[in-house]
Amino acid sequence: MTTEVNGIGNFIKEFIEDYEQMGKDKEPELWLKEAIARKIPGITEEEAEKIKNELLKGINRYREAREKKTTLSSVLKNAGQYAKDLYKKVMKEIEELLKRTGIDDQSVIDKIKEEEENE
Amino acid sequence: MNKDKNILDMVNAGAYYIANRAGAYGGPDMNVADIGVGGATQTDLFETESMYKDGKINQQQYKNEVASIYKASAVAIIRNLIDKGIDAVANFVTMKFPVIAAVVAPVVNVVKSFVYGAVEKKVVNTASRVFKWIKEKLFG
Repeated sequence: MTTEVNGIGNFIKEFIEDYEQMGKDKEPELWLKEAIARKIPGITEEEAEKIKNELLKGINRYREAREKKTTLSSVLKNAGQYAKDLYKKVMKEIEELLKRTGIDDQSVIDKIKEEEENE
Repeated sequence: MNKDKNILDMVNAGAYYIANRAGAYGGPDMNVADIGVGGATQTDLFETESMYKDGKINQQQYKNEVASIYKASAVAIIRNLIDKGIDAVANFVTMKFPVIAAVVAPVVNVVKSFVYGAVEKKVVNTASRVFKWIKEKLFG
């Protein structure tokens, strides 16, 4: 496991070095696009821009979910007929992931479910 | 959003993207927006573990925060999925839930050791050390 952390750590280290050398005086989003283009040989500027936008979309969606404490139920309203199945599946996966992390207190799981029910 | 956190998210997400592209990390069905979610998720997991280790939050708060991070990650990934269309949602229902597990995999066991009261200090402290190191390198 430490090896896995070190593995991604090396990529993070490379990216930090890139930011230190090329990004500090730039607008962060521009730096990200240029850094992606530098790290992937042969990529076009258009592709780098697209990748940057997709990464930012994911980041922004996560931040919004954290800050607004968005419930699964509210997001799943847009999943139509699959909403119920998806809700069950995701809650089960979160529970399993928490258990794998060593967090198996029922109170933690109940708290998440309570937030959903109060939505 | 906090500018420092914004940069941390971009560094994490960019690093995960490059790692995934290099075949060094990731899982099935990792699309680019999901990797963005993964990068931001890692920022918060690292930060939360660091706060717990420093005694700024207690164990119960720590556990609730981790649960909340996983849920926010799931919410964001589902939004990505819905974005991709109804077929993507339909396929997802019949598949395993791969992405969250993939994005948090590197820290899961470290956190686990930490919660259980760790045996080997070197392993236990890895995630919080990574976070502190990233912050120090980026922001001094």
